[in-house]
Amino acid sequence: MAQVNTIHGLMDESQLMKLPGLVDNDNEHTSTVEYCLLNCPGDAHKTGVPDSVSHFCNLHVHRSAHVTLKKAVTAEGVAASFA
Amino acid sequence: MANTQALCTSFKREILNGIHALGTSVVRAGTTPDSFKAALYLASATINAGTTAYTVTGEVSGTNYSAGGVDLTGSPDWIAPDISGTTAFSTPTNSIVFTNVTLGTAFDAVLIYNSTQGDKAVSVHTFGSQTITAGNFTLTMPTNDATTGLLRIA
Repeated sequence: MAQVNTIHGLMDESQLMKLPGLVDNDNEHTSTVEYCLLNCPGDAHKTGVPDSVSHFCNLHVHRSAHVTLKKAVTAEGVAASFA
Repeated sequence: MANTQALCTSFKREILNGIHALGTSVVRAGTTPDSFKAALYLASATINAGTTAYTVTGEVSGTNYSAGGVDLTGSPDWIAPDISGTTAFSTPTNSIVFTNVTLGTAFDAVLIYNSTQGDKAVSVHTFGSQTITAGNFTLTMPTNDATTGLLRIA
């Protein structure tokens, strides 16, 4: 079983609850993985409502994110006419 | 044949290569590309088109995150500027990775800046708000072409 780096140090994945996430829109493709302790008392697990827009459970012990940017910054080049 | 008014496509690529100096420029010892860095900013920060240089104001802080962010790791940092159609484009060579960090306050932007030239700002890229805990934050680049390249002059 894989080891996960957490705020409590390295922990065996079997001791944790894994919460994967995925966002795919015009701006980005983002995959996240969040781990909580088994039997985490966080409200989010009871209600299914994330505690924050930035993560699912406030009591998570590990969270990583992988963002693939889709939207570039583009400058328009113009050669204008003389007045 | 007829003449066509245009900003020459080659000029757009040459701007990215630092060829043209329409104003006061910098002294360069050689032709080596500049070095760039990437810093992360809180969702409450104000980093935008008006940002002129790296600033610590609004930057994230946390375990294993150093002020100023991380170096871009390519050799060189950017894929050689290219042109397709009338668009010049370039993209960082490698993904930008913040390793084993804990960033507990929500952040949603990265500023890429030129650390060789006085930390001058290059571009701001935003994404969905994140926190990271004892983990990695990875920014993977899009395909480097005229449609999806990270920086484009159309």
